[in-house]
Amino acid sequence: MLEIKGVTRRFGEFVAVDQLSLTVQAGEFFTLLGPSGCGKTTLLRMLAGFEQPDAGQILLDGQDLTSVPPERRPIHTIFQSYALFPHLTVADNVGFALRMAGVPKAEIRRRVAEQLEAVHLSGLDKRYPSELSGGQRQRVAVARALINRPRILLLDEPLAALDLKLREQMQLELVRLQREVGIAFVYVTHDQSEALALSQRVAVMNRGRIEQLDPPRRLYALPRNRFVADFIGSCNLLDAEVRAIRGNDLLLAVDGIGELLVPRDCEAWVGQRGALALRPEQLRLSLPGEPAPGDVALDGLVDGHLYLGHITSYQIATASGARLEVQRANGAPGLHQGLDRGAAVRVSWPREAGRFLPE
Amino acid sequence: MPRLLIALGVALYAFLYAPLVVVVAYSFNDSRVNAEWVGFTLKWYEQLLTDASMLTAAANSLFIALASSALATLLGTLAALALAQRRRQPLLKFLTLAPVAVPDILLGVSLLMLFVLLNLSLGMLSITLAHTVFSIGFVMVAVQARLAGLDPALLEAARDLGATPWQAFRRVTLPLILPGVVAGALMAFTLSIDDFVVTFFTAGVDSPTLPLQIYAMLKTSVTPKVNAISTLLMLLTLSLILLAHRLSPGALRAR
Ligand SMILES: Nc1ncnc2c1ncn2[C@@H]1O[C@H](COP(=O)(O)OP(=O)(O)OP(=O)(O)O)[C@@H](O)[C@H]1O
Ligand SMILES: [Mg+2]
Repeated sequence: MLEIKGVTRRFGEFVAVDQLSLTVQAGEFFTLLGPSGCGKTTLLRMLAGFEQPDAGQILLDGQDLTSVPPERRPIHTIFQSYALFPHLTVADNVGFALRMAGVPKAEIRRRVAEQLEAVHLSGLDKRYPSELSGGQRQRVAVARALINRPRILLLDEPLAALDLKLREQMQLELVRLQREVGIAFVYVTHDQSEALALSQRVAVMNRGRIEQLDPPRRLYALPRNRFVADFIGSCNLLDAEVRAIRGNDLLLAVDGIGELLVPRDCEAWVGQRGALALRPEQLRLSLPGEPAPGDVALDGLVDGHLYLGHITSYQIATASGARLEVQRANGAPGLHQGLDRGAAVRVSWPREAGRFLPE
Repeated sequence: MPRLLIALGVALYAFLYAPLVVVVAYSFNDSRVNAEWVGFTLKWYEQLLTDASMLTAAANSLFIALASSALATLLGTLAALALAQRRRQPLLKFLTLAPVAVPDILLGVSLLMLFVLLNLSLGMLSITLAHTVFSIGFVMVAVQARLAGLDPALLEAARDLGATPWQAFRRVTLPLILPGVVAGALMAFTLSIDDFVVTFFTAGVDSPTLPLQIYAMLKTSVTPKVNAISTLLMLLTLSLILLAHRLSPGALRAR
């Protein structure tokens, strides 16, 4: 179990990581997700031992790591650039940690062969890193970091340099590998779909702090604030104010929509400002005059649309003055008839789809 | 147009190498004067081997070149490593490059004054030190070029995988900068073995080097022996330069 307790790192006046606390369980796939510059790499570097926290503690199974140098931490890193040693062969790269630990040559050879097989690189052991493809380099980096079974593996945007197809393939492989070896992964990314796809828990970071730490489903369904809702998936966010509290519902006054009820799932008080959050895939489109499928219905015009293959994303300007994104599945095979720009439509949604997010 | 360029190129190489070819050719010429070709002979080389003062000078030169290039390589490499710890130090960078650009005669005179001031007797030691001084800069530049291309993440990766700072240096930094170190060492050796000006000022009476000896011979009489020794010296430096070329980055796989 890795505990980070109130860790702070400053660069001059700038606070890169701000009194951050979190716990990573043994064997967990944990992801740090956040926009560029939010302090993900800095936090990872403190875990690896390349940076010292200005305040706070890092504990591994109760043992304080703060003053332990990187070479004596049972934590390995996969660098964004992979940092493979260019003057060593694949086999020597993978066997590096064992060599440093003074393992006998014959055993190194045996374990390197085993490890290369585990990442499907057998036969490439005599190549140099410059003679490998991007995906192969990535595998070498993984094999090198896992060969002497660290307690924790840190991965700093390891797939960022790969093209989409290869990235998806490597995502599946990383998840499989992580299950197999049972080592806790702390994975850094600014790609929210990657975070949702891979992780058991995700910490959403912003300006050196954690905005929300939850399993992917919860993070997507119940974002705690505007930042998280906006960062995870796409979301319609409309400024709103609490008008009244009615039992388990909140009566909101929403800019461009007017008054409506949403379920209450957090502390709220009358007069509180925040946003109404509506996921685009939970909104329905129908033609004016037809009965609308939702509880709340607004008339509007199609202002634009993006065809994305599996879905079409419509921009709707409502008569009341709001702009909403609505996503519609393109459904069964065959050419799907879309709605043209300027078409009159109704947007509707079930009452429970709306959520109030405090500022 | 390409023809004109080729012609120009040929002319340039002829201009560069004609004097050298003449020296080499006359070193095999069976005549006392460098005027006309008489016949092939190796006698000037034989005479060299029996010329005690020439052999002493050669031994001196070799010793000084080995010692000063070793010293310059060690110090220059360490200095480049130390400088790499502090990036963005324009003054320090300038100070390392300055001695490379200082005119030899200035360096010679000032070193002479320094040695006199320090009461250091002029001889093998003073020449070795002087050669070290002007070689360090070249070694530093060669090593710095390699260090600049070194990804700092490689060292962190080594530490991450269990290497102590020393092991990380030994297993990662050193192999990767080695081509620069070797190139610097070969450069220092060639600079030392054919240096005349600085040596002229810092040598005592009893420690002639090859270039000093050649100069002394020229003052008395121009014998073809000078051509022979010059040819040998040229052969040595050329092969060192070729060696440096072979050891350049590609050959060591440090990409
Ligand atoms: N050595 C340093 N000196 C000064 N500022 C730094 C240093 N390292 C990081 N920072 C700053 O700290 C902040 C956080 O940097 P960090 O590299 O942790 O971001 P990140 O979340 O990894 O971003 P990205 O997704 O772009 O990699 C940035 O604003 C960065 O400029
Ligand atoms: Mg980063």
